[in-house]
Amino acid sequence: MKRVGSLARAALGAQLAGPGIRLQTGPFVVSLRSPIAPLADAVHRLYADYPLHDADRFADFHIHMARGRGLRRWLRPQVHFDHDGSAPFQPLPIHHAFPMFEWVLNWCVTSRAHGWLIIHAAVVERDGLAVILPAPPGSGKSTLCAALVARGWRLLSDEMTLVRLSDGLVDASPRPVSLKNASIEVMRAFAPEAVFSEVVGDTAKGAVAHMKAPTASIERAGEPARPAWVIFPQWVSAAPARLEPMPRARAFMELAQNAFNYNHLGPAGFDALARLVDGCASYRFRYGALDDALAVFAALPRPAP
Amino acid sequence: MNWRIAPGQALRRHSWQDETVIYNDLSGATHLIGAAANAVLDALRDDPASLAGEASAALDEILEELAALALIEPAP
Repeated sequence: MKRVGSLARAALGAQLAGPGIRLQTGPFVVSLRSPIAPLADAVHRLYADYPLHDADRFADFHIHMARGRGLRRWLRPQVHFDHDGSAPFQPLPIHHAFPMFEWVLNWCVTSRAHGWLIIHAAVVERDGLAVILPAPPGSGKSTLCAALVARGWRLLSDEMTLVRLSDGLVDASPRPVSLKNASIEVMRAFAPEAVFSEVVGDTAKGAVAHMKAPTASIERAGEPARPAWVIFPQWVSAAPARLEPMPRARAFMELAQNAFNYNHLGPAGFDALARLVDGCASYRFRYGALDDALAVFAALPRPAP
Repeated sequence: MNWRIAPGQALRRHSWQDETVIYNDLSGATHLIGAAANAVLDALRDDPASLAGEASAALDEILEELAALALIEPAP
């Protein structure tokens, strides 16, 4: 299997600027074209382990990110995105190209991939059992996900949980973990061996950086996992770690609110979510320190098989 | 007033302990209802006449809430 990392940085840049590359992330093949150097730098650093396909391979999503035209190209360089010819995002400064690529790819998946119930949640796995971590921004979901992954949990996704409609298993689509503001330094200290992107300091979400998905998680992207726990995390400064059981019907309603395509799927989404909630123990989880959280996760009671 | 399940509602439900989630086929919404409301839906589906002898303010309140969600409607 050829990997993106088989291309040296110069060759990757030339191919991105020319015909583009086709890389695979979980079930999706993405065609990416762009002449933007900071984007090529980040792809080179964070996507080296992902399968690289030939140009004749079918791509689920076509993403083209280009520099703005005319004077603005020189005065205030911007990046434009078009997906299959349409341009649903506002132009952004050129150094936002990589975070924008990540958001655009998330948008492609959540607006198109209706073979799954897609929950706005991180998902990690150990010993074949997955923990789903749904949460709004600011809850510490991605930081907790990054910490679990840095300590040996397999990353399936830090942003989108893909629940198969056919059998309820969760498919993996491991991508770089998005970290914001104070979380960036927290994770650099917590996982100094991890690979990070450059920090982009002035996005709509504040400072953003991405942590590379572990190689082992990318290599196992074809393995689904059985969901066993749904845990709604909330980071609270200096709070002791506390895991509190949650009634299943309440977990159902919150998961429905956190699913990107629940309404689109109609009864099929309802049935998929009911099966998920049936098979999982659900909890609310408050924590203040990552080490405390990791200890709780290591001791999660295993559900009956 | 007599009530019936609104035509088009399949009463797709899932219950855990004393709480039930129900898919509303007419609006596409999902509702969380309690055990009493769930039992009223069962009664209207299986034997609407059985509610006749149960008149109470609590039942009226449940019926009004279910009607507001378009899960049930006045029987013709």
